[in-house]
Amino acid sequence: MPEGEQAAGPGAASVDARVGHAGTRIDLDAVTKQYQVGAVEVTALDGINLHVDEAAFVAIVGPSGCGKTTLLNMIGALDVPTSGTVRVAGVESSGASRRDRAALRRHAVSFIFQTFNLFPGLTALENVRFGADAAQRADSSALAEAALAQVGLAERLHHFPHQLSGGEQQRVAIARALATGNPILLADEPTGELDFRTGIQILRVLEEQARSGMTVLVVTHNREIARVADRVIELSSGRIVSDGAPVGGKAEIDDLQW
Amino acid sequence: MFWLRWSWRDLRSRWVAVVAIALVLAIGTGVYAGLGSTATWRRQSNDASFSALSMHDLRVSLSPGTFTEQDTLLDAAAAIASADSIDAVAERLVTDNQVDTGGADSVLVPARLVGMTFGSERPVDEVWIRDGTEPAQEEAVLEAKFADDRGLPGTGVVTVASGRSITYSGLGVAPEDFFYEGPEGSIFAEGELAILYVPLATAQDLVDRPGTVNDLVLTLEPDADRDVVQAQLASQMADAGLSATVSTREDADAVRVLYEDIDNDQRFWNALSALVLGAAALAAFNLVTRIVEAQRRELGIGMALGVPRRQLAIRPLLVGLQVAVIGTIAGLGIGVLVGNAFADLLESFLPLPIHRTPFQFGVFAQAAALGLVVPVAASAVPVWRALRVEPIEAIRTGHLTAKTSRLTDWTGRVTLPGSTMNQMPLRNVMRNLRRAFLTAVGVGAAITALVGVLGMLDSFQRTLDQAADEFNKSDPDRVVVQLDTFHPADSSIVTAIGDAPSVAHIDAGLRLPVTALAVDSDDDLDLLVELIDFDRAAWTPTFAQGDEVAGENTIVLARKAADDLGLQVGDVVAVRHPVRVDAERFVLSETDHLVSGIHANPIRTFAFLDVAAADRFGLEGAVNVVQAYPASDASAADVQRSIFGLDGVASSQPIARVTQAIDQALDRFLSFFVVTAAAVLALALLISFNATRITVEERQREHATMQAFGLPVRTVLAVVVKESVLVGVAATAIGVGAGAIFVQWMLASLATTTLPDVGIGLYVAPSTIAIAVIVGIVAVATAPLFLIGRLRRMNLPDTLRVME
Repeated sequence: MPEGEQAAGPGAASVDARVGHAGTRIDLDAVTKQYQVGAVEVTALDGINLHVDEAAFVAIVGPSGCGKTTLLNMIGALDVPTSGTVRVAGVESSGASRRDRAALRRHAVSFIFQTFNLFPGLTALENVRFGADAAQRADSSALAEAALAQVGLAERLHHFPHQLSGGEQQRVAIARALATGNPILLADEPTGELDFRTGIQILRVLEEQARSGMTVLVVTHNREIARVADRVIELSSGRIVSDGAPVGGKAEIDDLQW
Repeated sequence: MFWLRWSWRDLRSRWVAVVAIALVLAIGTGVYAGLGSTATWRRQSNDASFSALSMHDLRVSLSPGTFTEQDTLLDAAAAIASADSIDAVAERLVTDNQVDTGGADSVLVPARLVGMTFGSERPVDEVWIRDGTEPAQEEAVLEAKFADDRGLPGTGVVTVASGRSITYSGLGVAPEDFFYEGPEGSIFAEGELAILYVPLATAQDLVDRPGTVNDLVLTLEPDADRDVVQAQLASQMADAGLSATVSTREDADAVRVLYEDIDNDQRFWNALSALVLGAAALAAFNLVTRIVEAQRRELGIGMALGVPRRQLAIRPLLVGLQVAVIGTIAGLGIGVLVGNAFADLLESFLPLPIHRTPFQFGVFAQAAALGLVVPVAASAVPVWRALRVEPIEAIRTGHLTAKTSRLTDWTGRVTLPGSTMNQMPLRNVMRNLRRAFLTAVGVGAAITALVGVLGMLDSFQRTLDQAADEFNKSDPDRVVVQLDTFHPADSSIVTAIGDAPSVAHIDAGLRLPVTALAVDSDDDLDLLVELIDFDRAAWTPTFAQGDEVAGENTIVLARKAADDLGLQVGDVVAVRHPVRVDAERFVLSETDHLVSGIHANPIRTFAFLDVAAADRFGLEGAVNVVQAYPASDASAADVQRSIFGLDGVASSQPIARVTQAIDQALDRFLSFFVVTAAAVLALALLISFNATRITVEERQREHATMQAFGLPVRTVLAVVVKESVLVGVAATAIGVGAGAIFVQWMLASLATTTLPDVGIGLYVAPSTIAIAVIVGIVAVATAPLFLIGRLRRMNLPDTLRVME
């Protein structure tokens, strides 16, 4: 077992991936996910092998239905594979109980959704505090304020989601993810609901997180966005068809256009 | 067809919700139909029963203590000019007596011996033999209500005053005895009079009056002019030298009471059933509205695709129609069930030979009409709202759809204590106050009905307890002995009662009927005043207000009597009362009395004067009622036995029997409430569960997000439960408040006509509050627990991607 990895598997509920970055590694071995849709069996992921080091900025691209979101859900322990193993932050989530997978989500990963999924009844500050509270971090209020300041929303603490623009709401969602203190950030089409300018703002925030040591995985169908990542994984029909640096080299965010 | 098919799929996907809401309506309509049917049932049952037993149209009664030769009355009837109008006629011998039921639990009670003809081909006032057989010669039928009240067997032997025993071959009742009011001063007295129906010759033999009668009952041809026949009979009797009164069927207590009460009682049940139906309708409206609101976006898509709005409205309106149809069909079933329960109750306490309880389609149709209209209207409102907006508004997804109230915006800067998981429930409620309020009102409506029904029970029960406490204080074993007339306080009968071996001591007094005249209206009130020696009597009334009976011109009234007469302590009331002018004659006089106090008995009839007022009645030194207190080793029954047969004793009744009788009478009345309460409890639970289930469905994306951040299901559930508790607290507050108002209204309006003689105060017992809390808060709060499986099975990835 590599140094820094914890014993994995069921019963390893006390995940603490925040201790250093040694636990941010993501390992998927021969992961297959099949769904039964009516009489048809659909293979969403087909024998995926994937290894992501810590502090990486990874983009997962591919056409609709290629398995991008399913892959992200496997890594985020929202779903379990039909076969194969998924190991995140030293914990094998593929065979873990519901409770252990919840613990993994609480302490190792955090999500950013295309539709934000903010709590409409909570203010921006409270939404972000929720992230810190969920991760059981002390002084959640101060952490939330700091996270909102980090995404440039220090002046919008007491606004409710409906009082914020789409870009601001997504930044609140990012701040909520940051407030968890978890080392792996999973973003599913984070700019999908946003216009170009706002999308650029969001990408900048995500890149900053990767630069600061977090492992950031962004699912997108937009190849232009993928150019800012360190590594681009392309899926097609549930298989990885390419994996490496962006074609044509890593781009600066200011150079992007779509 | 397309829309119907689509709607059918809608129904299949949410059949639980549709059926549950339909059940809510069904309970409402069922209770309405059940409670609304009792008046018709009672009227039909009365008509059929009086008719089946050939209740007399006219009755000729000789003056008390006078008799005539058998056939004299028949001949007199046959001699009237309108004799052809008489359908059937029968002579009887009706005499007062006393009965000892014998056995270990022997009771001694006043009795009435009715000598009559059994098995006649043309009977009048026939006896309905409920248990056993018709009596042979030297046998009797014992009145059934008395036997039931005293727990006597279906056949047995009793002893009458002459000491002779007679076997009763069965239990039964004649139509004029369907209801027994009791002698003056006694109440709820059906266990206090033993009626024995015996063959005429046997009756004549038992009372040692062979060949005599004193009573004639007749039925008339359908086209007869009863008034004419009545007048001719009265005239004929006078001509024959007989002192007699000719009374009509309606003069009989049984007829008067059994018909008079019907409409009063029905008004009571109507109010109650309207409350239940209203609560169900309100809740159904709320629940259907919320289901249809969930189709808002689909309506927008339809509008965006250019589908005419009228066509788009069909599908959500069909939801309401589905609820309406299922609710109406289920309501029919529940109506039958509730109706059967009420019919059984009626049969159990109305001693009628025939009970007619057909399903009342008319009443049910009224409820069903509302049951049909409410869900359709409930679906129409959100459809109308959804179709008013521009398509782009309706189909908008994501962050642009979120809306909250102004209050929510205002509360943004209010910092709530605790973690966000603790804040979330209140924030969620504040976020959509209208929806939270409607949910609370929906659940609160059911609790209103529950508190309304149980609060009525509480108020009645406490009133009964107050009456019992007042009657029973000093000694629950005291026996109230009513004398047959006024006797000197030192007369032999009074002395004999006081000297009876089981009697420790007595308080002799007077009990007189008077009429109190209202201050500011022409109304008057019949009271039974008791003249008491307040300084010496062992039992005196408790003063709820005022504390002094200052001489002969003061009166102590019940609170209800004072209120009805518009009086307060210190006011003067005019009292019309009898004054004895000689041994045989009384005249009426009117005297002003100062209201010196209010006594604690809630029964309006009772009033008290100081014994010094007796001379104003011309009754100084006279008594007609004696309170007899048993010796330490004797019981009330011993007292009754020891004074049984004393010449001058009209009746004796242990005071405890009065409260028991009130209790039994109220129990019968309240049994309707108990059935209704059971239905309302089911209604409240159903509404609570549905409202919570819909809330959970509406919040499922938030719950998925919480789980995505690693919160365990129990934490998510805790948030839901806390939110439900907040709504439940509001619902309970609404329900308890509105329920108390309903009870107050019922007592202030309807109870004054239904139960005019009892002052019933509003009382909602802690147990009722506890039940309301259990239903409104605990049941609402625990309802999400039933949805734990749904939360566990939730497909997180799919739910998180749901577009709103």
